[in-house]
Amino acid sequence: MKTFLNDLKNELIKNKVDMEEIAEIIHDHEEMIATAMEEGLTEEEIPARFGDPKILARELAEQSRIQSKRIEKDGYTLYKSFTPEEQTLNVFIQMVAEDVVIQPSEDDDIHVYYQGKGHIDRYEISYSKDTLKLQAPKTLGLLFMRSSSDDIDFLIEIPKRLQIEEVKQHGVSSDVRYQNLDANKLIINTTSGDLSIQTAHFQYVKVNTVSGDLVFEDVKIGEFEASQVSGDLKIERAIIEGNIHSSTVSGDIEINDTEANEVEFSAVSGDVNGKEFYPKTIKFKSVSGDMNLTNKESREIKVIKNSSLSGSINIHS
Amino acid sequence: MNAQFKRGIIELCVLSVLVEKDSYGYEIISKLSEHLDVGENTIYPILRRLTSDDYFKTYLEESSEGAPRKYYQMTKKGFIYYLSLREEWDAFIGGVYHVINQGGKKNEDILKRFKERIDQE
Repeated sequence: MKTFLNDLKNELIKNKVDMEEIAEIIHDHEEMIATAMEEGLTEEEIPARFGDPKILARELAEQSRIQSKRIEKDGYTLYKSFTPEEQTLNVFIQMVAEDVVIQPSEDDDIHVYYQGKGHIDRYEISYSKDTLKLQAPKTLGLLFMRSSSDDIDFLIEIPKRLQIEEVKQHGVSSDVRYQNLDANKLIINTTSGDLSIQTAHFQYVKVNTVSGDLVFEDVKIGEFEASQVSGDLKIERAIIEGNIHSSTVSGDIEINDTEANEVEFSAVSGDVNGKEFYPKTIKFKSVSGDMNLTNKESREIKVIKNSSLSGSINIHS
Repeated sequence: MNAQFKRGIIELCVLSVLVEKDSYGYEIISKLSEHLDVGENTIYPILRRLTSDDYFKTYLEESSEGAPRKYYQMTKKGFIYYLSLREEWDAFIGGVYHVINQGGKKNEDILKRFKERIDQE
């Protein structure tokens, strides 16, 4: 017993396991071996049951290295890093309830961080050629056993130098926050998740949501399409080079300090409110919603179509 | 057999022991070594890793023979992990059986068919 324990201890020291951990491992083995010998195990049989001290120590050392190597950031733990192989990148995200944040990375690699106690190993997280993919586990069998403590949230970092072609995210109740992001296309489909975009540049944005709220701040967007049922839409300090198409049933729309080409709103009962909002033309279609614009500059805004039943359009300048 | 694969199987075995009842280190080791050669696939590191991942927690209990023993107890998280591994294992082994038994289970039959084919050549 003494020999085995001494050998194990020496091997652990050789493998640079820290002393506190060694003490615990040795203590556990003292207890297990004592029990084994009470039950009639002989000295020679020890390695057959507990393993060769050399192999055992190597395995334990490797394990403790993995655990201490955890890199943390804003409460997230680094899960995987990828070195980009191409100049362009597509991001494909399929989630259920997991929140996702995307921001630029500080180095030249793509990083995927996570937080929460869920099973990170059951997510498909891969990068190949020019596509980064994050996918929630497909097995629905155990879904009923999900509890809030199993939730996982993600933080994705993408190097600035990569040209992002498309970011596509599907979610059910996932909240999404993107900051400092330049991409060609942004496509989001979610049921109740909220979306917040800060300081970003897109050629084309298309968002479909039922009850999720959408917030765009400090953005430059080519074409913008949003379809909502009850969620609100808020656009602050934006330049929309092309057109805005927004349809909602009962959600309200608020647009401030924004310029746009042609704007088409169609709402059932949602209102449209704007301050310092200068589109060139407006098409407004509503059953009972109102539209109110309050602008300081008296630029011409053409109202092309006004098919509001009981709502009114007011432009003050 | 592939070491990584074997380790996964031992892990499932450890989980299967603890899903039934709380158990101390040597009890787990001796239960597994009744049926499996565990010498080269050490169990203790698995216990340690699963404990630090919160799949097990431990407590000390006095034993009649001497020093208190460290008992391992499966957590709810551990149970969910066990179920997912179990599900994977059942699907995998089912597939393997399907493939290796496609010509029937009997070695004589397999040998007979093989011989016939070899003789034709």
